[in-house]
Amino acid sequence: MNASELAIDLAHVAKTYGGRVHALQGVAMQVRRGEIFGLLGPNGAGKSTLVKILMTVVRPSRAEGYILGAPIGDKATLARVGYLPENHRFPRYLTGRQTLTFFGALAKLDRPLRHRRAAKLLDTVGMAAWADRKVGTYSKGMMQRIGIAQALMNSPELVLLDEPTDGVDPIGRRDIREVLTRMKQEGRTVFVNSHLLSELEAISDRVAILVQGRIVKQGTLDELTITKQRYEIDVAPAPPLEPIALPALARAAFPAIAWQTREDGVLRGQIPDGPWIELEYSTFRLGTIDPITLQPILDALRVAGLIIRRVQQVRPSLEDLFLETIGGPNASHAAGAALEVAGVRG
Amino acid sequence: MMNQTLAIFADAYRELNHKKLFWITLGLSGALMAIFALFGVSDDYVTFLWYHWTNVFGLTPAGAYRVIFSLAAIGFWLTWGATFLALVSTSGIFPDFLTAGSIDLYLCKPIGRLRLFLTKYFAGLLFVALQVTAFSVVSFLVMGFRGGIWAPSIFLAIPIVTVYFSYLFSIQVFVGVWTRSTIASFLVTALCFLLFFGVHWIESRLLMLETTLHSQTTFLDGRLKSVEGRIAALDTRPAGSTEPASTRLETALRQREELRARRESVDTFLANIDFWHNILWGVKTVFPKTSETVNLLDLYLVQDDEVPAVVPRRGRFQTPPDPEDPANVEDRTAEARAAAVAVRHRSLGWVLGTSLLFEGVVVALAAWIFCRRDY
Repeated sequence: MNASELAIDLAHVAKTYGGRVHALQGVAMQVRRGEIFGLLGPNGAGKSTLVKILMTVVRPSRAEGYILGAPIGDKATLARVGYLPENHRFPRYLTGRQTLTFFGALAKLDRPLRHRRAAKLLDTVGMAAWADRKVGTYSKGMMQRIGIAQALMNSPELVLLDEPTDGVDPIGRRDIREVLTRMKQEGRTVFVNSHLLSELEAISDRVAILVQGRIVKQGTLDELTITKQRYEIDVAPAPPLEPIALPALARAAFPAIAWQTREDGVLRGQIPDGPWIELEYSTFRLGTIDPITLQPILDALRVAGLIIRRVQQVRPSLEDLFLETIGGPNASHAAGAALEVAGVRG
Repeated sequence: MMNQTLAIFADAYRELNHKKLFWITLGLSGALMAIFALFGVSDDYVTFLWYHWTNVFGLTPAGAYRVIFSLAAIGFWLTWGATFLALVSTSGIFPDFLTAGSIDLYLCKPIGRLRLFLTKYFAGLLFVALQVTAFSVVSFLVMGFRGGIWAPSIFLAIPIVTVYFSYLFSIQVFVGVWTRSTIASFLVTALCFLLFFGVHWIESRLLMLETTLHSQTTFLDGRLKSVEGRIAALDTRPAGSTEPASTRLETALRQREELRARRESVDTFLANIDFWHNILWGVKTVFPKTSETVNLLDLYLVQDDEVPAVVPRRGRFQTPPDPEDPANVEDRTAEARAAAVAVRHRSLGWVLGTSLLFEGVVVALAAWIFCRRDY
């Protein structure tokens, strides 16, 4: 891919704290211009550290890469970047409008422009009615809305949002999703760091998964789950047979398969010149999403006396992918705990 | 660039505006000036509200207002009261600024860390600058209308007091950046403030003692010369004579021995005082000169002969009453005033130059930590 098509192009970003805690261990990642990119990872994986390095809040141990074509750490480039930090704290004595104009001034906007932008963005994030109240009186959700507006004050080409929906109610989350989608429609690149996988799944064009300071996967959801996409076929034995007869019926339907029973009781085999096949309780899983490949298999099941109750094409969710990547449902906690002990959070 | 700088200053003003302590300090300044305005001085009387006292000091109205302003407004309020309140009020500026979630919002903007730090630093001095500006305007009017002194030099208080406070603020910022703790920032600065004052107090007392002792040596030398003259006149015996001295001559000889012993004793003590004074002088040269800096304002308002002198108690090395030279012995006030005047006239380069150098080093260290740190 041409470098000019990349908003963020990281070749090697590393950060070590105190010479012993390796928060980032050579992150390589590409974010294309105009896309919504999601960064996932368990607690302590280094997500916030990575974002803070990009925003010059944290000094990297090593940084090879570019943001909007300029080397990481170039302050002038930050005039074209918007950022919403996690757990941001705006001065409590400012009103929402003053907050936007103040941070607009720090982003080098002239006075008339920042007042115009502030008014427009307050409207965009639904805060126009509370614009002249002190930030100290705002709820968490209102703070997030002002935070997003603040990140957009300089009309940035690239917006980095660290946990933008943190503490926001479902309606607020929906509104924020809409704002992010609008940003993309306006041609901005949106980089979102979030724990809320379902939301990232809904809006992200591409994602990356960061585990213990390394990017272990990145791409579109389709690319990342292609090997896990499958058909699921719910079946029932024709009466008077009972469900307990299903394994025997499966063997009868596919006599050429050398079936093996796994420890968890799942029957698994490989169809000659075809996909893998599994039987768990009354559900067959088939390692293909090709409907042509599916047809003879359905025929074989019917011939063996099975009733087809449901056929569904299944793609793993982002959560499935995430949990599988970090090593199971309990891995998130374990991976996070390792770095939390060392005093570092991602 | 100016947009960013102005925005940070405007933000600092809003922050001050939000703090109750800012308004409390301003209110106390106003109250102090109101009390000041209620004093009336004529050639015969000093009045306060409906009370009046005889003007025993023979102060002129102008001189009285200048001295009261020097003692109360400069010596007490600006040096102690307002400074303490300012320290309380500003101790949280940098720790709050460096809080996670707050500092990120600044560092992610197209502004260099050093510039951000320095702008925030100078904006932090706004508290004192605004307070002193208001105080100076009111003082100017009160002294003009009540004392008939229209002294624009009073507005020198704005830069002088701001510079004076900046010495302490630099320490506050350094501790604030280093520890990110408001309490540590306040306590360490308050301790340094007391330390600087303590060093100044001891040093100026030693200087006063030195001045007194030098005056003693001059006096004793004069007395010795006089006694030796008397001995020469009384001792008419030929050289080598064993004839006993007359009673008057014996008295004069005994006086000479006593004076020599006292002179030697004063010399020894003076050497000790010189030693310790030199050490404290060295320490003071490194430290910021808070008292001398504030006294610069005094220098422009109060004449040397109006300087209030603190007379030390009579010590064992001060000359006992001598009927032959009573004025030289009794008038300790002149010696004390001479010492106070000597402190007032210390070189501007030494007072401001070394203090600003101290501030520069402390601010540079704080800036280094600020620029190198991960947030």
